[in-house]
Amino acid sequence: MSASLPMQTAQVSEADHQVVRVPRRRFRPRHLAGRVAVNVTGLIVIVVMAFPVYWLVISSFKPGKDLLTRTPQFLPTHPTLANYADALSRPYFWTSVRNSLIVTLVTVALSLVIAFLAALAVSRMRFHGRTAYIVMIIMVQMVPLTALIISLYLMLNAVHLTDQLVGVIFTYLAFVLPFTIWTLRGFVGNIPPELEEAALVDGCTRMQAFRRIVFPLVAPGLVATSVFAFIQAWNEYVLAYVLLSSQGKQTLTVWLAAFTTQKGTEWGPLMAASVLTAIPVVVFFLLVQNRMASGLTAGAVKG
Amino acid sequence: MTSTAMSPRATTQQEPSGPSLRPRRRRGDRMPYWLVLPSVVVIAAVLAYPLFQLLSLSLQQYRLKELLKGKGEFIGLKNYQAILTDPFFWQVVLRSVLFTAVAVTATIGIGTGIALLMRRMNRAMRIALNVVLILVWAIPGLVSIVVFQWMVDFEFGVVNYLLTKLGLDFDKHNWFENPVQGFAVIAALVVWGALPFVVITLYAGLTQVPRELEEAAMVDGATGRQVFWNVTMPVLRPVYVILTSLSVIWDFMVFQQIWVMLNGRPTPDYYTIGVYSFVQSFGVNDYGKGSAIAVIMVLMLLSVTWIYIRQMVKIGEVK
Amino acid sequence: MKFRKLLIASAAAGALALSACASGDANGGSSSPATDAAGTLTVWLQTDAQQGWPELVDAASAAVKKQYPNVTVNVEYQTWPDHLTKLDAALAGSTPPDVVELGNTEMTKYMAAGALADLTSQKGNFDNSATWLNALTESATFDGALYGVPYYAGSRAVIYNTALYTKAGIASAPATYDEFISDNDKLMAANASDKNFSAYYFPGKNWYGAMPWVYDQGGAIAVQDGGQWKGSLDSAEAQKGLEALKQVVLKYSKADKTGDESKQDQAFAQGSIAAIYGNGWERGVIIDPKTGNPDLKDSLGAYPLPSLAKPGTTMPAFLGGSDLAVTSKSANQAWAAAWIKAFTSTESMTAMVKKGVLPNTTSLLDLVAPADQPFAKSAANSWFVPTSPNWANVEKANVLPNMLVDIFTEKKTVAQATADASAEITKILNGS
Repeated sequence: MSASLPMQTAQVSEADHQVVRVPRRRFRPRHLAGRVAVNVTGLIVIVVMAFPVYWLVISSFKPGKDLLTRTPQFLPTHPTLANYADALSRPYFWTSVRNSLIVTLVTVALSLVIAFLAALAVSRMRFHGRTAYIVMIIMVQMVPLTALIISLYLMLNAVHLTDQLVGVIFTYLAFVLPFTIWTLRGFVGNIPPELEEAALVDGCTRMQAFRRIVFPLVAPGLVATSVFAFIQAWNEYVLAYVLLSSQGKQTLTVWLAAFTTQKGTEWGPLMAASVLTAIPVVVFFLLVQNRMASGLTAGAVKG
Repeated sequence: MTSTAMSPRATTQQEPSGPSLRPRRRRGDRMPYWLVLPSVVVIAAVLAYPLFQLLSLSLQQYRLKELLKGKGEFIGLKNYQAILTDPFFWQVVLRSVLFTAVAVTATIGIGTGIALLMRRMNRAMRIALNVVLILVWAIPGLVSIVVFQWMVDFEFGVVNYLLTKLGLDFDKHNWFENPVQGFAVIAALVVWGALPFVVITLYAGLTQVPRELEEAAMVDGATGRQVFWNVTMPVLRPVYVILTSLSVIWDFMVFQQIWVMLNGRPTPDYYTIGVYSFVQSFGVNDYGKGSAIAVIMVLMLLSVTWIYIRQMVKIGEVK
Repeated sequence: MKFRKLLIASAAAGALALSACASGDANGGSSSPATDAAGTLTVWLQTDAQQGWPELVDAASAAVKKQYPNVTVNVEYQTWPDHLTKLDAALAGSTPPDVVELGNTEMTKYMAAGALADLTSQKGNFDNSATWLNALTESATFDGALYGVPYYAGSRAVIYNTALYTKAGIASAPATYDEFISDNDKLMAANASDKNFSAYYFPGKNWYGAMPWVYDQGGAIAVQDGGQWKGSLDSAEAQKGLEALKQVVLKYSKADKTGDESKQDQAFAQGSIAAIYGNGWERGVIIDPKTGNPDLKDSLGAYPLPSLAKPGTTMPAFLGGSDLAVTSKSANQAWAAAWIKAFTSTESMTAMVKKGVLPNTTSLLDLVAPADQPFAKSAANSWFVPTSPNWANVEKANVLPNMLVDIFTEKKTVAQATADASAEITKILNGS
């Protein structure tokens, strides 16, 4: 990618690097008016994006008769924790949480390692079959999952991997990998190979060069892809439902589906449960974000 | 997010570059094969057989009866013929293309705006926006669709309530009676749901753009727009290629949002290719036809994203 | 209470059976009825049983265990969304479930494909098989053979707010169609100031609520003639019924003419609605604090829709519910049938009735609580959708909801809308 940067920008950077590094300023508008405009627009964006989430959260605190009212209740007039109590008291909640965590974390960890290796190869190296590999990665994402479910089940059943978390993890990996490889490829591709090579010339081992130079620069990409992988695995329903048969093995999304019976769906408890299932995702994101951010600073300083 | 921490990276840009310093491009190096091996193994192990089955089923008469026997009847391209000669299918394709064009443009446009805005916000707001985005993303799809459905409900919807409060006549307004309005609501839901992914990925990409380059260009008198197109965009191009292609893929296959929003009973005005394939095939157990539709969808998506894919492949080879 | 004791004993035995199956027995059983054969019987029930009557499930498993001591029963609860996808996958595989619960409208395509075992010769073994609810038996019958055992029913009637009726000066539920109309007029007049008020709330796509008007006149969705199906909504009878319904909807309903009934319970719980047409269990939804308004508990009544065509009778209701079937690939047919027999026994059904579920047999309808009697009454007089394997396609294509929307929004006349729908139904039902 670095080679496709327009020439003039490369020249600019040559010319200014000593000068510009001194101010170390943040990318912020200088004028007060500009800053106000930015923050007001930002606030509007936050409110619009957050409103449906807000509606979900307050609904989870409303009793049944207040869920749909002709005059909307922007704050619950009869706040209650009954929905949460109901959701938490259902059988298999904690086993489902555990299963979901195992499946998701293993999928994320494996996918990051595997995808990072593949991204290095694809973005840095020339080899026979590279084009075919990229086309395969892209095409795999275009196939609708529903069309593959039955074949997947039959295959895993034949090797006794149905009703096993391992089977689900492998399947998720295959569906998450194309995206993670593709995205990391973009991030790795943006790192000039010269940088690493310079490190090698300076006497670093290849591992050190990776750790000190490549890894920190790819970190934001790793955050984005790990969150993607986490959410894909955490929220997947159909595969988990078809591949896992015993309730002790089910994941959270399958557990959520049991809120719908012949009599309809119990929306209050379902919304409370959805809020609960969203919390680990947010926690994961904040953790990863902080880790990566600190790793980033450290790496950058060393580099 | 540490925006300042990224600045030292700019120093890397002017390392001397010369063709002589590229030891790993040697031919015959086995390294790349070892690196891609794990991913090839996983993807092939899980997907090779189902994908082969998909192609094979699309050439067979394969319904519930055949599924039980595990054996279908080979009928050549008859499934494809039946689908491609149905004029309704082409209406549906056209509707899907229009929907995809609108939704993808909105997703990428608004996403870019928010990502750029995020760089200029103060820290507290950025964190707040980040958390909101993650929450939007983390809510199970089905539930967020139902929340939207409630918000635009004709009798109890908060949207009609607020619009009426503003003095507009939206009391008992039915958003789904007119498919154009209905699709506007669905597009809003789809874009809203896709924004977290787009913004977070774009923002991560933006951190790779050397600040010094942009600022120097500003100092040199370039307008904000020029800086974006000439400095920021080239670095972000691979990320844009990915985001646009994925949005095209997802929006073209949109199913769940329409299906759930309309309580599993969309009228034919609301059929997109995703809904159509479900209704015509998976819902009534014609696996042969369902597979054929899936194959047709892949071919259509490939033809649309082909330009991008070629660029992807090229990007690497130029180096 | 002998029955109570039996329940407790069998629940304990059921717990044993469950813990036994945790240790797992991988040997596939044989279909030989030898009582000492060993193996695992897999039963797929929907979550309704787990939440409503798990002890009856345990009791059935215990009964099988008693008869076949070396059999472990493994009950797996399924969720409604996508359970058919899972069933399809399992049927294609080598280890399908032995017993499976299917919604009564889901039966036909599996019967037609040969996925379910023929139980015709064993029919007499099941309790109450002579008095099973007609519409349920019909849903489990294909080409004259029986492929399933009725499990429980859900029937529809008018659910009404007695307080609003009383306030409008109506002393008792309408017994004739004329009273139904005059009561609705009174209700509209008494609540003229409330612009949201519906005397009879009817969302446009509610075809389960519309078809009683058709069947009441002697009409039908489709009729079978020499192996060929023919859509018959364009008959004079059907049109007459739909015309009458159209007048009711236009005059007494403020519901969304293009919407469906999925939110009608929540709407009813808000007040401003005097009556809806709904399933018996919807009353539970209306007064459950999690989903509705418990204050309505004492002002909730029900009555079967009075017939327009035959005064003194009621309009036939659509019967929902579930059936239990044995998969044809099951290696444990005898155990599977034994389990179903135990689970649908008179004792088991009696216990289910006490939980407010409509039983599978007319012989137990008298046990239904007085408040549920209107539903029991409509269950006795019920209709079912055409049992063509292609019926699912008619539902998927939304032919009936689309027709009703066209009628109520007056996009098309009744004659035109029914003619179009009939033609489409004929085409789909006879399609390959």
